[in-house]
Amino acid sequence: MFNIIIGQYVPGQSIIHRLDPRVKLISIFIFVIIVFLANNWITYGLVVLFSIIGILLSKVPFRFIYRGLRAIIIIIIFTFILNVLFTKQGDLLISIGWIHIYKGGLIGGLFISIRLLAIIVITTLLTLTTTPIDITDGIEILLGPLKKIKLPIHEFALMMSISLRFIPTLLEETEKIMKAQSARGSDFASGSVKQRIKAIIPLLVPLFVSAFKRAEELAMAMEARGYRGDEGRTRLRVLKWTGKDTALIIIMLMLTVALVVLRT
Amino acid sequence: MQKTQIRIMTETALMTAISVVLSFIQIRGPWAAGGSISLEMVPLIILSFRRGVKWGMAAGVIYGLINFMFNPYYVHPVQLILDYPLAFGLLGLSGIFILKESETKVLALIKLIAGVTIGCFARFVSHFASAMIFFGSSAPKGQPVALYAFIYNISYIGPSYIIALFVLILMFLTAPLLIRRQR
Repeated sequence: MFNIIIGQYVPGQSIIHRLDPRVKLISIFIFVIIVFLANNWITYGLVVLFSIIGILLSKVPFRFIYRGLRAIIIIIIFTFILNVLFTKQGDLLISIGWIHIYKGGLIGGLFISIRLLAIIVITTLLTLTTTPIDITDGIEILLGPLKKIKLPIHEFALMMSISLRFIPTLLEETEKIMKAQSARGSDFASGSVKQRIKAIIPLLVPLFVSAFKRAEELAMAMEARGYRGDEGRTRLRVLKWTGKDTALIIIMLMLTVALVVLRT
Repeated sequence: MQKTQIRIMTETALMTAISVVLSFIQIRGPWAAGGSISLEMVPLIILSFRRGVKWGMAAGVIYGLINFMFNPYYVHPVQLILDYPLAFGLLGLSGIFILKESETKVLALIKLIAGVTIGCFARFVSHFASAMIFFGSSAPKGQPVALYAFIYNISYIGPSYIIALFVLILMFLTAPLLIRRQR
């Protein structure tokens, strides 16, 4: 049950891995907006080309990308079929019984599927090539200006980092408590739903008690080290903006211009 | 920065982490477009009761974002917000009732059930709205979008709600201190 990789991150040294997380976040933000500009073969071609280049540069084995897509493929096929069956535009291509397939529907369905697929591939690429903690740091810095209007961005990012840090620890702890309670005769794996819910209480109560204790100790440790919130705090992991990051931003702007010019 | 606030922050972070851990233990089902039955809601609801709606919502938003990083299901920008940070954030509404030490067990249980129901319902509304928006934008006109979105979402939030409710009631009866509002 517990031999799962935590998160989706696939370690690597490719150029996509080494990009600054801030730049990746900005680029994805731009991408998911400009994808909606595409409306003909050339513009959709550009979007597809961009996604494929992204995958190739990241050097992430294809099966990881497929794993991210697996769940969504069904919904894409579903949307495609709905569009093909119920859009009545262009020439009538096939007509079997009550099924009428029009050219407009076929092309429309294809375009929507490509758009979904491109958005998903690019977002998956972020989680595949960036550690959750880097994403959190990136989000904190990008949303930094919102601190001016008293939004607790720093506190959110800190809680998120602590949470990410403690997931493996708590996973281990859960496993330990499960074994301890099994040794005392608890049975988690069989019985009716009611019995299983009852069996899970002796697992949850110690888990929560120990988590609250940990929270208290952590708070005390933070205080002892002089944590006073965001102001004047220095960082262990410092993000660096380099030439390739600027290059990606320029590429994104070029893609935007291309889509605006080439769309019909 | 106040002493208690740091403590509440670390508690929020750790409850979110337990939620993530519990979300790994899930009943896999036919939910192609995201959704599963697990105990992920239990720690978020406990925090809402312990520390109030504000912190419950904060934990929900953080959990939503982490859940998205681990298990992204993404088709539309608005859908992302509604399905992840907002849906779990709204779950924090569970904490609107304060369980006090002075009141009877029956009253406390009624408040607990009411709180959990409100929180889960708010979460459901967010998922439902997200499904409506996505299908509204990608499905052709004339489809029974609302019915589909309703059935799809209720099919996993319903069982999750019932299981979470039972677990919370049992936990409250065994260890009420974990769930009562902290001073």
